Parts: sequence; structure tokens; C-alpha cells
Amino acid sequence: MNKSTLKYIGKRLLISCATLLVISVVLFLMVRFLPGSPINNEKLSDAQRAIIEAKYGLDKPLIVQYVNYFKNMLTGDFGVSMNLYKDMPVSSLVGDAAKISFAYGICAVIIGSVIGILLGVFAALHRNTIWDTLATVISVIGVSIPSFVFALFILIFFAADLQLIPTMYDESQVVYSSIMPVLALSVGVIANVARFTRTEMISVLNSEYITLAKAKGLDGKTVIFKHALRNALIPVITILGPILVNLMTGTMVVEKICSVPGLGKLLINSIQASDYNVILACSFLYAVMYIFMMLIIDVSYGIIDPRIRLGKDD
Amino acid sequence: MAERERILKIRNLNISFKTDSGTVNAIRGVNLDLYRGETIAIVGESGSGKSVTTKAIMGIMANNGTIDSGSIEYTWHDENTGEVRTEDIVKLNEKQMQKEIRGRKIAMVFQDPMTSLNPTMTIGKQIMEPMIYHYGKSKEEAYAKSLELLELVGITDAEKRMKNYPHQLSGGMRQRIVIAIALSCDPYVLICDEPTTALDVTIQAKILELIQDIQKKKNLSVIYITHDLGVVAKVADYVNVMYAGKIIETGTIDEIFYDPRHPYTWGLLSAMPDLDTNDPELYTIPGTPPNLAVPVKGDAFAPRNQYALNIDLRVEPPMFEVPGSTTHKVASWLMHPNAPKIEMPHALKKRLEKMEKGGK
Amino acid sequence: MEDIKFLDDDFQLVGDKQDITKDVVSPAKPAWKDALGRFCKNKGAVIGCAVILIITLLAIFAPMFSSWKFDAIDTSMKNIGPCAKHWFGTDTYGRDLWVRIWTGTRYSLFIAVVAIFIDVVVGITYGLISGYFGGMVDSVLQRIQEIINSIPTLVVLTLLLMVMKSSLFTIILALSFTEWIGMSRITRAQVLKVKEDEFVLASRTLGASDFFIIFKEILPNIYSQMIIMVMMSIPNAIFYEAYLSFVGLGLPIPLASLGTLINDGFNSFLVYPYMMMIPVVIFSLLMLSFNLFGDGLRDALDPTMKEM
Repeated sequence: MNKSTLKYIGKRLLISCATLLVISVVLFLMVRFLPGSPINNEKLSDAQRAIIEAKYGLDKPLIVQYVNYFKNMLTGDFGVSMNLYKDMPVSSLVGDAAKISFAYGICAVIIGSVIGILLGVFAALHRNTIWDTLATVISVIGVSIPSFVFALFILIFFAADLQLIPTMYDESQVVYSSIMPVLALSVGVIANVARFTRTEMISVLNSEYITLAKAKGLDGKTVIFKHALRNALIPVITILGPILVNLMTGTMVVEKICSVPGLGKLLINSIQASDYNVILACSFLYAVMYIFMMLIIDVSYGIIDPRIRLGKDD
Repeated sequence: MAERERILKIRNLNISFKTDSGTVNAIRGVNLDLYRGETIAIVGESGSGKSVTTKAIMGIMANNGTIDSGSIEYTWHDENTGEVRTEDIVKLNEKQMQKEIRGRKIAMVFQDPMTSLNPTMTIGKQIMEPMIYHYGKSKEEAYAKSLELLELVGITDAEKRMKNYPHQLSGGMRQRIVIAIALSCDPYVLICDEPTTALDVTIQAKILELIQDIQKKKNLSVIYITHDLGVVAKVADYVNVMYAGKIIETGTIDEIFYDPRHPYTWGLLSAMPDLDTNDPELYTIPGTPPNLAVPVKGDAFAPRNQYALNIDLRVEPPMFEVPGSTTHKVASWLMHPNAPKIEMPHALKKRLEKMEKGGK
Repeated sequence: MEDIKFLDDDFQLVGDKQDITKDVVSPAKPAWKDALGRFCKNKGAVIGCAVILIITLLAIFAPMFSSWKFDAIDTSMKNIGPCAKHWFGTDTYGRDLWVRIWTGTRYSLFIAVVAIFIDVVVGITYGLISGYFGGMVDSVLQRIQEIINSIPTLVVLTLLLMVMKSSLFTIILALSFTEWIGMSRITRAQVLKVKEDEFVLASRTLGASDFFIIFKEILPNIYSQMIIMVMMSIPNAIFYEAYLSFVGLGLPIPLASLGTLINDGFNSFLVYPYMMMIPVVIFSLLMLSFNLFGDGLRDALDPTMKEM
């Protein structure tokens, strides 16, 4: 790794930390000043209020309060749930839910990327044929229509009408009841990856170095697998970011539709129950996950592709 | 002089492309000969069909292009038996073409070294690949030969470069690497498609010298594709001037440079930038090349030709032999005995005379 | 050669009878005509455009020409399936869904278009300031932009709407917060490019205000990207509006948007599937059409961006 790569990674790390700091300040201010938040709740008894005031040091200057809050946050202490699950620690609620959402996300990305890449390469190799058109239509539909619509359709046809899969999440058969949400989430990934792979593959196949590889007298397979594929697939990493965003918003709605007890469902329930501690913890976790993933994607792209000189992008 | 050994013989080649705006007749009856150890240049504006011709020789045309008629005969000595074999490339199928011809018999150097190397593969791998692929050489053999090749193309600390990726090298270096790749399977014919246009002026001359040097060492035949007459003057033995998919004048380098006959060649020569003329303006050929999607009637150059004859608008001129030469041929009605005697423009004549004096 | 019959004047020079300096290439077309031609060749884009038009017209006029009101509750006629009287049926409160869905579409479109319009204005202003002033201002603004860009949209939206309490106005405001960064980047890049141009320098030395020159140079150069971005962002805004409805931060009753209608329909979709299916189909059609239209527009306006 050369100097500019390290410099770029350093810069990205700084920005990520700054973002986290900003988010934590916003969350703190919301807890502190929003009416109905755990601190300002009028329903609190005097005894409860005293405990909270002691815990957060509400008599101390604002900055000290923030530092306390931030410390608690770093140790995973988001307080207890107020309305949703009386007095359960938020960290365990969020932790359990996040595991499910995370697993779904990973599955959707893996399934979606594999199928998407195959579809994209296939379409590029059969350019301007009926197969290409078909793949393009599939990917346009998949890109434009959000995953919850697919979840709804799968729910209606496969679960409600045909009764092939359960309509509700069933803890006794986790794999079975995960088929629908994971499938619905994968559609968007497949479409995005397929579309991008096709474009990349076509532009690589038109490039001079592929002509050179052909001019060397290599056969078609060697040209495609040894020369074209790697170059076409590296940029696919760049769209993992947007895909991640899609997946995150996707999981929220899909989890609600399929009643999966994931992070999204928890966030929706807590919003509807105005359970501030849970809302803030979920938002924080979403933000942390997102920032962390983006960092990994950006950095790995720089390391994998020898052409890219990080830090020279602006 | 020993008997000239013909390697490549193209006869009446016609190539067309299917595009959205109709069929484009990119190559219209091209004839070309290449002899062992000699250098020919194909000169013309962009879009005149020079690159398409070479791609056809390599059999790597774009998918929408087809060879409508004609032959590309390639003659070589079989490696094992030593007997002389001749094949019409047009009739070979893709598999034979790929196994026998491409890379092994005919290799190519591309225009832009920045884009013609695989960015995610080390230099070493890219040079070794065709040797391992075609001749089944072991990695060690291929590695040793690659080092030799890198030294041949003038790259110092070759061992270190083998591990580099293309983006770590300069344009001139990359072009040397492309040449090394082209030479890796000991081809007989090297096609250089504008090998220096993408390079810095200071490096251009060096690359040309390198190619000439290697040509002498390996007794290669070289085809240059270029629009730069300066390059042609430096390297070529024979020149073919191409316009709208046809060769309109062909001859030895001296014939083309000191006794050009076709008005288009006059135009090209007049348009060549030159250090010691004090013309206030650089001459340019008026108009633009014709749209080949529309069938050409008569001489394709006539609409831009200030010496056009009435017949040019009606009938396509055949190849006339220039009297007193077996090599110099011109496709222009001006060569017909009945045509009015038209001399090349005075300014050009003076310029060429000056060049001749300077050159000899 | 013998078979050619020569005419008398064959070997005379054409001379001045033809103008050799004339280009006989196809006549130049104005850029917009070229773009329109490319756009019309793209079937998907044309269909998308048509569907958007039809849905927009229906959203505007359908509620006007109906005797039902979108928020009139009449429990005597609840849960009626699609029929001649109620083309899309009625909902669990007995509200006519034909009117309600088109009104909802109207709100969804309105929210999306206004939000994206604000986005573009904010983005251009931000990019202009950042690029024009440069130096410290630029680095501060760019770092702020990077930080905002690394917070996921759904977190921003959720937090904003929790603070502001959802209403038509706050939803628009919140959505305006999400898509401006792309526009700002494009504008900034263009400003930086134009700033280097000689004529801006020249006019500056002549004492002219270069702000206007920059603006005049920038708008024509980014307008196509602007249109493309607007078309690509509108479906995003529609989607995020629906997302907010699903999360429970959508338009307050009795107002309706496609999102709230889908959400309401979802609560009873196993019994009355039409309540959800119809808005879902319209929603999906809108998303698909905007994407197709946007793609077509991008290919037509900016052929260099076209996927080959």
C-alpha cells in the first residue's frame, strides 16, 4: 500500500468519525430537549426522575451531560425501553433484532450478487439478442420497483394463495420463513448488479486490451474469463454502496410486511409507540453500520484495483 | 537481390458493416502485397478504412462487419516440415484463425498503449501468456524469453518490470511492452496501427527506430497504418494511399513522395507540416470524406477534387500503371491518355524538390 | 476498361461547376432535435413518458370529476369491491377509493416534485458557493457535505420527522434534505472548470462581475444533468414518502398519499386485496415509468453517458 492510499484511508476514517460524532450530538440533543423523551416525559414519577437526573447528571453543564451520554452510548448503554417492552435494556432488544436483519442483508447481497453477475455477463455476451433484452427488462423492473412490492406479491401468491411458505415469521422454522423476505430483498440486488455488470462487461469487451488479447490468438473463453471478467467485476464493488442503502430501507418495510422481528420492525414499532430510547439506538446502529460498510467498500475498492489511485478523486 | 518472397496477398477485398443507418461499405476492392522483410505503409484520413483492412487480416473485426468478397492469402514455411504453405485467411474458420494465425503468424501493435494493456494483470503475465498458450512453454522458459524480449525492446531492469502493473509505467514504456507482447510468438508479420500517435514527440522517433531495428534482426514484414506522412517517410518501402475504402495510389516511397500522381496524394503531401517551408498557412484538403453508407458513384474523391473531370462523376477510375514503373499505380482518370495534362500544384512541386535535395 | 463508353466531354475538367469546399455530409440538426430523435427511438422511455402523463392527468382530473369526496366517510358503504359505482371500491371507512387513490397519487407526485425542486435549488446554490469562493469556504462546505452524505437517508428522515411532527410541509422539507448532494457536486465541478476559463479572467480584469458570467456559463452546461437528476430523483422521493408512511411518519389523516394508501390497504389485504393492490400497481407503474423516462432522457441528452 502506498502513501496516497494510506492518506485516503486516513481521510475516510476521519470523516467517518466526524459523522458519528455529529450523529451522537443530534441524538443527544433529541433525548435532552424533545418533549416526551425519556428525560422530559411528564408521566415519570418523581422517584424515576431523580434516578434519571442522577444518571445523566442533568444539573451539570450541557457539555458534561453530552460526554456522559456519549460514554454510555459507546458502551452500548442506551437505557431501557419505555413503552414497547417495559424496562428491557435497549441494547439486548436491538442486538437480537440486528442479528436477524444483518443475516438477511448478507444473504440478499450474496444471492443477489451471484445471480446478478451471471445475468449481467450472460446479457453482455449475448448482446442485442432476445436474452439480452429479457435480462434488461428484468433488471429495469428490479431496479425501479422497491423490494416491498415484491414482498407483497410473494406474500399474496406464494404464501396466501398457494400456501407454499408461511405468511408470518415463525420462530420454530427460521429458514423456511426467511425465504420470502430474503427473496424479496435479493430482487433489487440482482437487478442492480446485473445492470451494472452488463454495462461494465460490454465496455470492457470493447476495450483495446481485449482486442489485444484476441490479437494474441487466445480463444474466446480465455479472453472472457482471464481478461474481461476481472476488469468488469471490480467496478461492481462501487455499487455495493447504493445497494446497501436500498437494502437498509428495504429491510424496514419488508420486515414489517413479513413480520420479521428484525431491526426494521423494531424501529417501526418503536416509532409507533414513541419509544425514544429504542428509536435512537436503532437509528444509531443503522448509521454506524452504514458508515462502517461504506468505509470498507471504499477502501477495499482502492486496494483491489491496482489502477485506482485513491485520494486523487477530487 | 534475392527473390522476393511474398507473405501476404490481398485481392479484391470488400468489407461492409451493418449499422443503424444502413450498410456501410468500408472496404471496396482493396489489393495489397507484402513481401518478406519489407515494410509497407497504408496512409489515409481517419475513416478511410485502413484500420478495418488490418483488422480483417487479423480476423478480429467487429461483430457487425462481414467480408463480402475477396481473398487474403497468407504464405509461410511450416515450422516442422519447412514446406511452404498458403492459406486464404478469409476461408479459415475462427478456431483455425485463432490457433494458427493470430499472435503466432501475425501480431499487432495498437495505437494507444494507455488502453491496450490489461490494467489488472502484471506485465510479466501478459508477455508470458501467448507463449505458454500457443507453444505450451513452461513458466520458466516463458519467463526467460520474456526477459530477453524486454531487453530487446529496450527496457532496463526487466526483472522488476515483470512484476509491475501497466499503470505504473509511462506511455513509451507501455508501447515497448506491447511490442514485446507482439514479438513473443515470433510472428512473420507485424501490423502497427498508428503506433506512435498517442506518444510524446520525443518518444515517437525512438519507438519507430526500435521497430525498424527489430524488423532487421528478425527479418519481419511490417505494415504501418498511419495518417502521418512523416512516419511513412521514415520507415516505409512501399506506400499505399487509401481513400474511402479504396487504394487510390500505390508505389515505392520515392514514387509517392517525389512523383505523386493522384490529386488526393498531392493534397496529403501539401497538408504535411514541414519545418522549412514558409507558407503562411497549412494546406488542408477541402470537404470531408464521403459517407460510405451511400453507394459511391464515380470517383469518391471527385466532390473534393479541384481537378475533377466530368467522367469522375460518372465512372469509377480503374488502376492505371504509371509509365516506366512496375510498382507505381494510380486510380485516377487523369492518367488516361485522353485526359488533359495536369501538373501537381506549383507550391507542392517546389516543396518536393526541396525535400528531394535535402533527402539525398 | 474497353467496355466503358466515353462521352465527348468526359475528359474536360469540371472546374468551377462544382464547389469543392462544400461539405456534403448530412445537414446539421439542432441539438435538441437530435436528442428528441434519440429519445423517440427508445420505446421504453416513450412508454414511460406516456404513463407518467396519463397518471398525472388522472391524478389532477379524476377527483374533480367525481361525485365522491376523498375524505367523506360513509360507514354504510364500507369494503365494497370495485364495481360500476366505485371503480376502485371503497375502503374500511366507506371512502371511495377511485377518488382517494387519485388524490393520493396527486399528493405523492406533489410532494416528490416540490421536494426535488427544492433539492435542485439547494444543490445548485451550495455547489455554486462552494466552487465560487473556493479555499477555506470550499473545504468546510465539502467536509459538511461529506458528513451529511455519510448518514443514511432513512435515519435522517426518521429523526427529522420525529422532531418536526409529520405534515405535508414537514415531509416535503425532510425529503428536500436528501437528494441535493449530487446536484451540488455537478455544479461545483462546473464552476471550478469555468473559473479557469480565460474569458472569465478577462472579464474580471475589465471589472465585470464574473458571478453572472459564471452563472450564464454554468446553467447551460448542467441543465441536461439537472433534468436527468430530477427525473431520477423523483421516483426516489416517491419511494421515501411511501417508506415514511409505512414507518408511521406519513401524511396525517384524512390526507392520503400512495404510501399511506398502501399502508392502510396492507392492514386488511388478506381480506380485501384490492385495497392494497390498486395503489401498489399505480405506485409501481410510476416508479417504473420515471426510471424508464429518466434512462431514456439520459441517453438522449448525454450520449456520452450512454451504456454502449
